[in-house]
Amino acid sequence: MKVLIIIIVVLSLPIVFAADPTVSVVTAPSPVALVSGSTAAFSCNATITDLDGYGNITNVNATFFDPAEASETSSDDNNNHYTDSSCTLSNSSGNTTDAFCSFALQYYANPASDWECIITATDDNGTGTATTGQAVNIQELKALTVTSLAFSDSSGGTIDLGATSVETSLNITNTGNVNITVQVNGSAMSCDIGTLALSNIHYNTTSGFSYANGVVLNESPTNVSNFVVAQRTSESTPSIGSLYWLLSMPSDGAGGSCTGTVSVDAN
Amino acid sequence: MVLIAASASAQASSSASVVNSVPAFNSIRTYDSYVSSTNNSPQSAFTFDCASSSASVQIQINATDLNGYTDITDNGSIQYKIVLLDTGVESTFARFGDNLVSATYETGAGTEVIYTASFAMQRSDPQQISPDYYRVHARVYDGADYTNSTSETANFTFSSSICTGGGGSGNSGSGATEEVTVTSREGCIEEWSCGGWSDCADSIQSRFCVELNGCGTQKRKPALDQSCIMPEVVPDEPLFDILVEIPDTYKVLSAGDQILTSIKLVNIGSAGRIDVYLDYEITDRQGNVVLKKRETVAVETQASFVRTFDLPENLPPGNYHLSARLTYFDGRFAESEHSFTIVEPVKSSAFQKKISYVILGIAGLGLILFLFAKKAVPYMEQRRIAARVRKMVKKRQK
Repeated sequence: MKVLIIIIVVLSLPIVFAADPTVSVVTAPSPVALVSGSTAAFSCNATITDLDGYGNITNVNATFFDPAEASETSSDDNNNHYTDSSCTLSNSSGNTTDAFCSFALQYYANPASDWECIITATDDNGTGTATTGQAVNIQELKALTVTSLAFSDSSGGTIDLGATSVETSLNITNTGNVNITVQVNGSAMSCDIGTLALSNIHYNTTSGFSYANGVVLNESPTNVSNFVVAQRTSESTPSIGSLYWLLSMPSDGAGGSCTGTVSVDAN
Repeated sequence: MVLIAASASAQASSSASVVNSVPAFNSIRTYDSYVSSTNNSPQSAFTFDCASSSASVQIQINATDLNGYTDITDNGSIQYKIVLLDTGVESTFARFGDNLVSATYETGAGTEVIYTASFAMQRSDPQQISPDYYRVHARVYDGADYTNSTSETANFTFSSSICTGGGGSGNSGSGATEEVTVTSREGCIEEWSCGGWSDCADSIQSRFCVELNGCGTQKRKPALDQSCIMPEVVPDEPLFDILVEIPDTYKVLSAGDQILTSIKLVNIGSAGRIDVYLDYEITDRQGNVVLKKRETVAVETQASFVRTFDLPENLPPGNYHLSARLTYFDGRFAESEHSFTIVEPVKSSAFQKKISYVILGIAGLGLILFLFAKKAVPYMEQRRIAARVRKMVKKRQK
């Protein structure tokens, strides 16, 4: 009888054993639209279950990467690999907690439709891992910024009537995630007195060009040949392409300050 | 699958500044009847018009600014002034003054602009038929740079005929106003365009009018002058009087003599040193000028001085007037005159010559006697004393 009672008591005690955390299917928004020249917030989410209780979870981290160029274990690269080493946990209760892993995606992150987000949870016993149930699509972004175009004489000042300006450059910065070609057009410069026709403005992709060899700026958009501003790949240096310009001042009929616009469109 | 985001574009502002081009003159011309920049013919000799009591000098100034003519019209101006030109030396035309006066924009295109102005010459203005006695100077300004006319100037002369028929000037004598016959186009309706009235001078204001339809008639010609009230003399301004006198000993002279006059200038207005012009003129009874001189004198309250003038050798006998006009302050003037007579020079007769010889002879004889007496008297006295001594010696011997 005593033995039976002991068996019953032992069987009625809670069964205590060590368990690895498990990660539910990772969810993430897709497609992802990047922000020109800046960062876009992106997050992967999952629910972590740990039978040892959510309090036993020591860390949840995540990697978001372009499998065409990187793997889960690659080092971070703004083009193809991002890491959140400590995801935010919320809604913790009992054996479960929600993990919220966030990334600031740079504008030049690769455009691809199969980015993956892997979330890994760790407790005292081991780790549990899960991958996004559906690949994430990062959209192609074509974007650029340009500097202003200021014409001057060799001393940086006003230009004589009948004279040609010194060469000046227009820098085009690729603020998207694909290589771009451009087309340019402009409007006549309006001066305090008179106007400067577009035919007085010539450009070239090569520095040191002669005015006669430049391409005449036109009112209608014109493709710039042999000119590509590549997707940014450097962590420290933006991708910039330059067009070079000359202004030939007419011999009369213009005076004062002149202003106009040059439009640059990414193809 | 790669989704394509919207294509991007950016606008760059382009800017440049153009060097300011210094404006320059193309021409400065004068006209007596300026119609338009394309319909006129320049003139450099102006005659007083008895009918309008003035002679309107129309001035056209043509200038260039390579930045565009609006650099002048919008940012600057064209101004002008008239100066006297006496034997090549420029001096102030007192009635115009030293200040530049703005001309009026007429038309412009591209880099070229035309401004016009008019100035009413009056009978009292200095007159000289030849050489040119007036010059138009101008300054063109574009808001940043200006150019004064140097080689581009316009010279002109001004003279007046004597108005007949009570033309309002009060002058009389020989001479005639010029008559111009104009053929009227039948049915033509005159349309006159007039400029603004000039400043009040000698109680008269003038203006310039042109007939736009080219009728050639003046039936509806508006009045070109009108009476006006002279502005009150500001107490702070000078007010001069002049007095010319010829001493009695110089009132009758012969041709080729030198005439002496005393001049007295009195400023009865505000005190203060001021330069005035003095124009001297000697005229015969018919008003013909036989001598003309000008000088500038600085006066504070009053000045007295003497001037001499060499009369021409060929001056016929008769009565003459010596006048002196003092011009100051915007053309105001004071005038004084005095008359004198030119007579035939005195010629010696044969009798007078003989008498002269006799007097000379007597005088010579007297001189000889005087010298003789001066030597003979001591000798005679010596002999008389010697005789008296001999007589006394003889008495003692007895």
